[in-house]
Amino acid sequence: MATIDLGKIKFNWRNEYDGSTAYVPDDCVYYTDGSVVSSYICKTASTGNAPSSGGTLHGSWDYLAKGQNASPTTTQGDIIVRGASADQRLAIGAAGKALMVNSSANGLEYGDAGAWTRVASGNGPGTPATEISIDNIFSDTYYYYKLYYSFATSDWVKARYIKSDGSIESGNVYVGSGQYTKENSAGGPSRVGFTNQNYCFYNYWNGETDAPAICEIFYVNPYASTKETQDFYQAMQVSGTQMFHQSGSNSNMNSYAVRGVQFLSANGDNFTSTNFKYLVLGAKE
Amino acid sequence: MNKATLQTDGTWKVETMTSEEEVDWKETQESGKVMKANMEAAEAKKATDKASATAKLKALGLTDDEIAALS
Repeated sequence: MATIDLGKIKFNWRNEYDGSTAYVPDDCVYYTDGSVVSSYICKTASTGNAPSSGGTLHGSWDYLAKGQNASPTTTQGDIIVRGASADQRLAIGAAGKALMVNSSANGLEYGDAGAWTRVASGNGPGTPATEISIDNIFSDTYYYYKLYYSFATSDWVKARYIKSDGSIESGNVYVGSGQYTKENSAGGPSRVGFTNQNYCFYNYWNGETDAPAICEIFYVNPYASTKETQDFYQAMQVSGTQMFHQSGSNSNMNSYAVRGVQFLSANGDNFTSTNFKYLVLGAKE
Repeated sequence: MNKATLQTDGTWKVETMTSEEEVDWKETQESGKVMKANMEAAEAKKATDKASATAKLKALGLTDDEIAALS
């Protein structure tokens, strides 16, 4: 009985597909359809019919092994998203941005997700200063702003607005009204107010090194040139068992765009990188 | 005395105050002291007035609870 060596039965490998070659069943080739390299086996005699086009097989051919598109990513942080008809690269976004659905709701992009977006944050200056300007934080980008700070020293904080040209409003234009309560300390609850003063203030009792004064300030459209800048704040300080809480409002009595806030230490303590921290958030209208 | 301004890149530009700025800061310091003194004086007067009023109400025969209920 004849012996057949099965090891000699193999594909009829024809190398790369050639449009001028006549292929017959069981011929095998490889072919690059677009950017995808695959191997194919001929099912019916075929000449001049590429095995696949645009990802669709020709009837004369079938896949032996189907390849995959090369990754569209090129840079660290890239991600792959589905485009209109194929996978595509989405480059990493800027620092602090979030991945979100675009306005057409048909794709992804990096942007400002959520209602409140961080505008600026950090510590006080490395070189101590008795006045600091939190400048260039207000603009047309957002309508609402919140400014938080903590100041860990035995001092309190006055403030002035910074105009859009960078000058600091130090005229007698500020009016303010507030109230405060105390616990384990004589006095209060009571009110405080001022008119035609050349500064306003946010926390008016001293913080401590181990118990910083904490303050939250809310502004509405401070960059509007046709509105007086106003703010609402609340602040707290603690010293031993004594607790102080203030809330109030400030306004300048002139209409112009304001781009930032200057803080002045009331008694001369310095703002430093270790005793002062701030966070500014913005939200659209 | 120094003043520091936040730059758009998040760093601080620290400069020495001009003489005019130092004068301005000292004026705000004095003004703040006056404001705080006025607040404390108003608190002290309020406490004194409260004690006086309480004594007068007691003389009229009100109990401590009744006086507390008025405030």
